[in-house]
Amino acid sequence: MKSIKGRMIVKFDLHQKDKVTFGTLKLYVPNRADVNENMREGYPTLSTVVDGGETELKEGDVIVSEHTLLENTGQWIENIDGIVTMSIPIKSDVVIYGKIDEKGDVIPLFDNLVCERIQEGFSSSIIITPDIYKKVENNKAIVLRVSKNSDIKEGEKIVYYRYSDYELVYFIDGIERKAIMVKRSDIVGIEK
Amino acid sequence: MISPLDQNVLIKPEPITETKLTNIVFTNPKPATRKGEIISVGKDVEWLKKGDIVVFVPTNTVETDGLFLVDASLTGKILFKYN
Repeated sequence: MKSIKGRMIVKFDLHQKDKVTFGTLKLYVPNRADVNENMREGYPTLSTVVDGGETELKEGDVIVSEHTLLENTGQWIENIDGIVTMSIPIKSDVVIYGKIDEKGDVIPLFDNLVCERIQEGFSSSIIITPDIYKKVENNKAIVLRVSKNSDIKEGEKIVYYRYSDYELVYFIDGIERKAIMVKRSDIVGIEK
Repeated sequence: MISPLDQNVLIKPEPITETKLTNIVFTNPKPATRKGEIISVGKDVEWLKKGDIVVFVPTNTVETDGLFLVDASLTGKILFKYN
């Protein structure tokens, strides 16, 4: 099965879109709203690449995307016992956060960046600010990983629209990991 | 120092206080528009330059360290410039 121009083909388990096993790793992306955490956090889903088309994705790569992407039944190619194969467009407004590499790290794709939020404490030489009192800047972050051909470089301090970042929470072999995703179009400046 | 990207500009706003003869300072906490001077511009901004005085809508813009990062595209937040 080959994809046409501007599209790629993925497959996923219809009844278990939040869990996948690849290689020796077991990956799980929980729905944060189910565990009464921040409702703003979305519902990431997992799928496996069949044909990446023009992208750098190869067959077998695991990608993390927004759940609405896989629910578009009009683009399903086949559904055999709950294993769905579908064609998805490769456009900037399609929310594919990134792929998971062999070590379990998120590699950002399609204008996404993996960042670390900046924490600022009170300045004092005597009192060490506990983490709970540290103020998290909700529109500033340091870039950890960038997607291919990005004009933003790793290590730069970015300023973006408030609340436009997305905290991706996932489990690798039962160990929780987090990645802060920011879209390139939401970045308005670089602090030097 | 912040460098604006693409079609964004960095604006230093004028303070939003009014001093009356009685020395009572009136402050409007959420004005609909703000006036300010452009400090730097992104690479895609053509119709504005450093030093321009503009009036902009501060809602849904990024405010950091007392400065505003405002989208200067035609559908953006800048209403007009003075000079």
